[in-house]
Amino acid sequence: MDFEEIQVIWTQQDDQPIFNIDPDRVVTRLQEETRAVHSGNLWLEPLFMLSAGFNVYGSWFRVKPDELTLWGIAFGLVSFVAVIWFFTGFLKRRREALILDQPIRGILESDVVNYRTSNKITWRGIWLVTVPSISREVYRLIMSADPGVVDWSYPELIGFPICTAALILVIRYQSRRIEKLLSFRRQLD
Amino acid sequence: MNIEEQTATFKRWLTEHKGLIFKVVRANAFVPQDQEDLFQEITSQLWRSITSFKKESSETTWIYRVAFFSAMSWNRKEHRHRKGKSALDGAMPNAEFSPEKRDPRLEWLYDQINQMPMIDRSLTLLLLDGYRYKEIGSILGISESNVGVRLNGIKKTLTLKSKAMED
Repeated sequence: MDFEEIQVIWTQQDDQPIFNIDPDRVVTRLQEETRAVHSGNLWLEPLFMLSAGFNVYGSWFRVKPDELTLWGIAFGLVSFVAVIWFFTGFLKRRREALILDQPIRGILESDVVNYRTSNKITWRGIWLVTVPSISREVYRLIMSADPGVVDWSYPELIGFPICTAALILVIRYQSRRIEKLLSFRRQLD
Repeated sequence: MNIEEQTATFKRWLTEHKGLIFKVVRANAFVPQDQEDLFQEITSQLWRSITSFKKESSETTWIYRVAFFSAMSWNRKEHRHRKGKSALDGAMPNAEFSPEKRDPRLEWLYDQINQMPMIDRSLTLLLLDGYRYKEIGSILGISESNVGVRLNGIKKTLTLKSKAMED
């Protein structure tokens, strides 16, 4: 076959769908998705700020740690979920705001910028959750009557490293996305 | 734009341009589950993009652009994508088509497009759909001469492979 024949084969294919689609059902599903994302973001962001504030307060100003252990665990978990949701929500909004009225090269570049920004924010999140707790632990170890003994009743000793590890995984995942986008971008050169 | 207008535009696009969307889907996904997944991804992005559409380009160009970008984003699941591809070797894609309705030459053509790098797939679809080099360049963001060079290579490869297949 020469290329003209290939083109003829292509143009002769009909518009028969690969599978049946019902535009009404597609619209309903998309509207539900949009509502779910928006309502999710409404309560997650204040929750994130609240839990971040609690981390700082809990790390430095808590007077009787044993009484707050359960609260610490609960807030640690909420904080973990909120941080993850916050960053994915942020990314979703940035992606929705992609300027599509530009060539694919421009869209790819905007997306790379979005992921890089998200990674920067995630790093800030890591500092936010780790610095208060690490500084407090160091302070406590220095001031302790029994220096050098770690008090495992503090839940953040377990919770914060897990949270930090999860955020680092998010960064690694996003970095792989950036690499993939850049590889598409290189194909255009 | 209110939600009623958005819905009406989306339904019209889906009805009038579903052929275009299915072409991009078939060129980028190999098994029915993946094709459905990619179709959902494209329609989802298309739905969101309606409010940004300022009619500065044609509807077809806009939909192509959204569909290509969605396919690239979807391609992040390359691991599964590749698995699907290897699992399909020798099998017949697109289970919804009955075998007697399928043109084997068209299946061969989709198979060749599937094997190309992402950007070459987009270039080939646009060429086969009759876009001029200048338009292809403006959709993808590359120069007209670059489009020409790459498409000449693609045309040559496709012609050679088709001859090898016929032999």
